[in-house]
Amino acid sequence: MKKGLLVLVVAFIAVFAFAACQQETAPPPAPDTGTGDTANNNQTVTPPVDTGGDVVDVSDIVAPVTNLTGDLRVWSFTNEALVIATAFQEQHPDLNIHFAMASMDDGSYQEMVAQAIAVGTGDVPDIIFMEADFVRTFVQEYGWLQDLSALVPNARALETIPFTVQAGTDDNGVVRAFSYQATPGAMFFRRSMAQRYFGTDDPAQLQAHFANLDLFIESARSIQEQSDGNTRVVGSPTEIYRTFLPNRSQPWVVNNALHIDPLMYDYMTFAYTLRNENLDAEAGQWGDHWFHAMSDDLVDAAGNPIAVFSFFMPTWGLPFVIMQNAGDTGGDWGVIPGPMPFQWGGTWLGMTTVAQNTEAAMEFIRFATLDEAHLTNWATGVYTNEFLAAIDPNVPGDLHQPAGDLVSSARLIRELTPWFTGSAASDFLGGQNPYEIFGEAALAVSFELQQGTDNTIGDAFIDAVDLYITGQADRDETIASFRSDVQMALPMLNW
Amino acid sequence: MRTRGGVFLIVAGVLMAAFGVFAIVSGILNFAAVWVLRDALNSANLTYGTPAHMAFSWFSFISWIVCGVVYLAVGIIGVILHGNLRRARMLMFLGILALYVYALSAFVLGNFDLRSLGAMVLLLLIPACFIAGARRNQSSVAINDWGYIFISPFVLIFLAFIAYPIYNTFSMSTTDARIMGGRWIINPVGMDNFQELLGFSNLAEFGEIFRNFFYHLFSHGDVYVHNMFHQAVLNTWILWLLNFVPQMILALVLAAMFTSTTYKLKGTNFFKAMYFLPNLMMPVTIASLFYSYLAVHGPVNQFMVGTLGIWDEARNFTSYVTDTRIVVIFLQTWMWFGQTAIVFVAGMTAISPTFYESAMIDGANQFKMFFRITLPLLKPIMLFVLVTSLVGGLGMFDIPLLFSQSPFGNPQNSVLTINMFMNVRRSFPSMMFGSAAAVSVLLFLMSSVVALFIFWAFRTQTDEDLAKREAKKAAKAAKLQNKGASA
Repeated sequence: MKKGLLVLVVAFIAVFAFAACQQETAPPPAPDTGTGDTANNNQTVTPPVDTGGDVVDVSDIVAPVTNLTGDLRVWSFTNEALVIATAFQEQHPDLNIHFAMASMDDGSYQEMVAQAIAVGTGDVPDIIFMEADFVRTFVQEYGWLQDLSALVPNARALETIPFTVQAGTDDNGVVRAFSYQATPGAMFFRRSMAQRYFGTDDPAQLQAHFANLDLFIESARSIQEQSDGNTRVVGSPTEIYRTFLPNRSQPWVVNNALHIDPLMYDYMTFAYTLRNENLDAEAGQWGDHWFHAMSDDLVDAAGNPIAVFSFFMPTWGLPFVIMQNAGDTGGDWGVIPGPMPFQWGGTWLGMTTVAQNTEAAMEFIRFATLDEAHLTNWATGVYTNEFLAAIDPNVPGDLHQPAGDLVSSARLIRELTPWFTGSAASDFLGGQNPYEIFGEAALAVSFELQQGTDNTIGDAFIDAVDLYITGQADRDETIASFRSDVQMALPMLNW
Repeated sequence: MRTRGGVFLIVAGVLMAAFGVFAIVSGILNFAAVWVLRDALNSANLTYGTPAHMAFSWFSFISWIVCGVVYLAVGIIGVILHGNLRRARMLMFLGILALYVYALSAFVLGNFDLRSLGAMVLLLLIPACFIAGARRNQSSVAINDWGYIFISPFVLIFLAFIAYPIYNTFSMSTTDARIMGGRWIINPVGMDNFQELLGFSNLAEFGEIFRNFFYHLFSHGDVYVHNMFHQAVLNTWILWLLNFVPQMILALVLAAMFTSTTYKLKGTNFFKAMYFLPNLMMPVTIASLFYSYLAVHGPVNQFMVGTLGIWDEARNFTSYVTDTRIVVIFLQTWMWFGQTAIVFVAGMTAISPTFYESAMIDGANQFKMFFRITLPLLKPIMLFVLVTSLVGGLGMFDIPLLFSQSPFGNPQNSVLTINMFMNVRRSFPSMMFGSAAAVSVLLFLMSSVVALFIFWAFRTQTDEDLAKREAKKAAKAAKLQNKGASA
């Protein structure tokens, strides 16, 4: 008995050692060829990528590859990737897809990817998913993504929304990431309130009241006065912070130094006015009270009901945030572009320089982001849980892709727009077709100023502006506090 | 003569020999594969890896082959010697231990470096040990070495998950380890990280900072620090001390009441459970719960403004320094006083009731008994609570981060703790692992020094110690007297 146990222990030790041994010897170091561009060597061809409208030579379009085999490692921060991977698996039953996921909110996904690729050995991903917050870092600064220029004709044919390509293009004009969705933002408003305070709920006429920041403040004052302070234009100024970002003239970091654009000073003034004239509801984004405001359940400390006129949200905010929390206010909503175009979120896919199965990785990216049939399925809710479970019975029971995500192809958006007339989302918006509105909004968005450090710097800025609008700091003190936070997080900039 | 445990040695020997063969073969194959690949790439005018990388590769393949040969030999010797338990077992245990260490270091690193070299040296020591053991194998006293097998899991886990990370943190803190421009960078930078964090490089600069701190404190009545790391250290101490002192007092009072033989309270178990409850909740839950409670439109404001009408307008707790700090301190106290009280109850019930009985006969009251019997006898428990709370409290992280909902511990960095500072440095997009390691090292040193001080302050003094101190005092007094006399 004792001996048997011991033999087991020894056997375990030996097996462990064997496993460790394989770990050590199996992956030979990855070839280091500078930029690591193995798929394609046409790096010198750097025309500004224009995916709009022009005629595409059909012979350039990369055709689908069938019956892929081998292993494909897909890393993601969102389970949308698992939906895509499962749909991809249906077409390539012999392909072994290894899917890994981590949270990006605390940065663990970014660190996982960064460490895997920077170290370059062991379990490394072929495909990585990237969020808007860090896609620029990976595409431009890190240079860990392979050239996807071969797919540009496909993108031209589909008229891929320019800003999604812009996000995935490095400074030399080489496309290294594509997206399957476009995520422009808009201003969702309440029709009944618009009727009461502006005499109309027609989106076109209402937009005239909110066409720029000055008009926005004026309209906010008018709403506040007419309602005796019981209706506020927006939950909190922070919600509008994102609309300022793409409309600056320069990004946060210029020549490796922190740059504060004049528009950000305008934001400080704007936020100060909103808060100190009681034009906002002091219901911060993602807080309980912000959600209450969507269903008219917000009550202030003194017990008075407070209504909120509008919410700034991107495409995904409609199905996943507003419609989920609107209670019985459905149909009383409308959407207008608001004072400035903006976008929020979005997911990009790239093939890493350490990718081992480049053929499958390339096909995966083509399928996920540039395949007409797949994108149509994606937008129209074909990928139900039953559909996915039929391919892989092991998918989580709640995994599915609801209809309504705005795909990245302008042509498909045009073709799919009629499909959304009379859809649940369109009923919710009082008959407005979200696909049509967002499709237009997407074309106005620019991704030019987005940088990988935006999220960190943005957090520091919003915290500092809170001091300013609560009267605890003047303008210079606010900026000093902002700078010291950024310096703590990013000491590598020039200070 | 067939001895006990012989079968084990045979099996282990065969497995080790097999591992040896496997290591030799895979070493040779990899060596050949890289050789061929390099030639192929060279002929295509491509380079294969960096020179340093190449050196590592060669070395690691060679090390595998050497390792394999040693193991093959050890395995075969083990099988042959299975009749002589003392020699063979020692050989085998050392072999297995070395194998563990090598495998773990290779597994953790995924590459070759100094640690693997250390393991290699250890591996080569085995034959030496074998010879030494065989020479000294003259007495026939039975040695039971099964214990090594049983403690080996702890030793290995300790080495892999405690000793190695501490060593690695220390070694990383003197480098600029980070991911920059898509490359893993690691260069020795000496004390630069510490200098940047501490804001001084010599005693004069330190003195300047020290003076400024107290000058501000006494002349302006407030504390103003420029350096964010100083701010983080200051905050951590403020938050820990202000939560620890009330927590101790509350816990002591509760524990004294729970264990009191005069009051004989009923339902103490229920209250103990209730007081302990906050500790069972996740910090995430507690922080977000209180974030909602204290929101501008939240229940606390509704109660104070709406129901009671004490406040004129709603207060935005997370926007003001004092409010945020008070809430964080309250949450820490609230989460931990129950736990501390239970530990004290355990300590107090261990005190023999005869002390109290005799004290009562002598006419001592509750307070006298508490201060003269309970507190002194509770000293070891106090020490435990103090040190564990210190180590936990200086590492405070989740409550301040989640309640302030700001990685910088805003407003005005009021609840930025040392660990939050470390987290800012470590996480994306900074990813300055070297600097973050330096923060951890400073935190480690600070905790150790303070903990050692507490141990010193709580040391048990024997009669001899006291006598020594008395003697010293007397000698000093005599000296003074002598001086006086001579003057």
